Amino acid sequence: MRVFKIDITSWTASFRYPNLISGFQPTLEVPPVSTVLGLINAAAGHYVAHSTLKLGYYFEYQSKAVDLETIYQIGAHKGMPSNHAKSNIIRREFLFEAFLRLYVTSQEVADYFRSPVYPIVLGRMNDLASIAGGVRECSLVPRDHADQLRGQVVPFSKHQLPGQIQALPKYFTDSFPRNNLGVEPYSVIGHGQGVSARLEAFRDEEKEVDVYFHDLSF
Amino acid sequence: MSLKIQGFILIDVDVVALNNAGKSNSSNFDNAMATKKIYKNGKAYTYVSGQAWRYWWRDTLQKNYGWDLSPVIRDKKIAFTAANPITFADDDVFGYMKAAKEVKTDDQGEPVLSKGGKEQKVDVTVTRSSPLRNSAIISVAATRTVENWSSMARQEGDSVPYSKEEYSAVMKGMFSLDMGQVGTFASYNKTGFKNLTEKLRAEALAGGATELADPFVKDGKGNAHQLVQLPKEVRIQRMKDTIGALKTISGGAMQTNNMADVTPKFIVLATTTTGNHPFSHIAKNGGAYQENAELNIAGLEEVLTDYKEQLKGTVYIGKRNGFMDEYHEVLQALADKFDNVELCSVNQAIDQYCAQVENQVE
Repeated sequence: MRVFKIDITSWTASFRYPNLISGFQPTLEVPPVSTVLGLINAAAGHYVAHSTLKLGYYFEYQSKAVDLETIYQIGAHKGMPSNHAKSNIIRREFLFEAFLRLYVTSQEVADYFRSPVYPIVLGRMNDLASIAGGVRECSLVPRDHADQLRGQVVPFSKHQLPGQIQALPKYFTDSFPRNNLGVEPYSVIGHGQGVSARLEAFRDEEKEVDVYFHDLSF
Repeated sequence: MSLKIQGFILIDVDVVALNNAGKSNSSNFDNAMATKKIYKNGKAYTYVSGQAWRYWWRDTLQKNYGWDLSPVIRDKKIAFTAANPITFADDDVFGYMKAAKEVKTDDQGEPVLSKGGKEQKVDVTVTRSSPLRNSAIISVAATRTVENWSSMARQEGDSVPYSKEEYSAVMKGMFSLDMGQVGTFASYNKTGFKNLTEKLRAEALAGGATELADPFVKDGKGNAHQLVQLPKEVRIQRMKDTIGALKTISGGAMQTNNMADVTPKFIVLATTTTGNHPFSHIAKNGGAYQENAELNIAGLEEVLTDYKEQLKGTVYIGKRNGFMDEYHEVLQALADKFDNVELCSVNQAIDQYCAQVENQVE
């Protein structure tokens, strides 16, 4: 399959668990689909209303660390935030020397990364990232029996792969407030250990990884 | 086309504990403070969180550049009293999320009145993502920290021992400042775009701000949404102050006994036509134990070549005499090779780059 490859690197990265609000803030080992779609929007400079999108990605990092951080816990008034806040200190996990490779079939989406409109961040504003090596076109070979599924999220309901099972968002609207366009359980498979499965995946020989493609429709 | 200011810095610090991680869990002392560090392949890399760097930056802008910071009241609870990027430059450059009141309007945009004839108000949340994005400041090479045993012994009775974790390192940081976002605000009801309330928008327009078509966001009828933009001289000043503050930036924990100069000793400043930050790999570690901080000159040359089309104007490289002097000749050769590269001292690089920004702001 012909795809466009985009490599993004950052010194630090963090992807918060959507359901954890207070206390220790761990990071997911792989960004959710919605985060990657957000990166595409940042590169495009606007909200991209995809009708369908074929997307694969692989994520790895060198190590994990825990940061100590000041947070402001904002009070609520009638369901809206107030301007009163309580200062607190939390421990937040983050990833060091992160690498994200995107695989897209759409020329239009790939072109966004040739000259991204906004700075790319892998997590929050302090996780500034760089696009390394531009956009490259390549062929990925299909594999019927993938044995190196790693550094990815794979829908759990359909494939039931081992990994950390997390309910993760797929995409959000750009309305006010944002509406979640569907949450589903995913197997979050870290880059360290490849998983075998009978599902269609495509081999990236350079990284020795079998890439699962999300066929997204909204 | 919205231009971006891209910066890369190296700082050189000795016997510091710039940003700490709370109580140490690897010390024999009850009263021990650990410094922030990351382990990779069994080696430690010390760092200052991005949040701390921003704190130093904001503080320096207040003390040395006369920035009137957006007021925060610290009582039993903290209260943010303004989300006003028109008046307060730090709200503009560093971003915010605050609650505000908005006049309720009908479908025609007319205010909805109560039975008593007063305009009805609704609660809204205004948000602004920061045009200034920065990394953490991380040691370039693997760093061995030491536990410094100290004691408080001026009182009667037993002395109180305590310890802190110190290190010496060359550390790297990078940042990106969006020229198109500084002093430019949206107020429409879209996630992340509602920077201003209608009241503040009206005040800004009355005070000299102008309207500008948003090139990316259109309403339901296909018409471009209107942004509010502060006068050019105000925007330029805010950008120049933000970059200029690096000349005198100070901060970090343990300054009483471990004071450090955290101003850049090496800096690269460039304007790019895209959001991509190109300079993330121009420093690397080397030596048998990854303990040497090195400049990746080949990597820097590659960036200057690969991104030639995206670099606008001159790329300024500033180096402090006495820091990494072994690279002076190769950097000079690089500056001679590329027409758009200038090598000078750190402060000259910042000043000359700021002068360039004046001509690049649209």
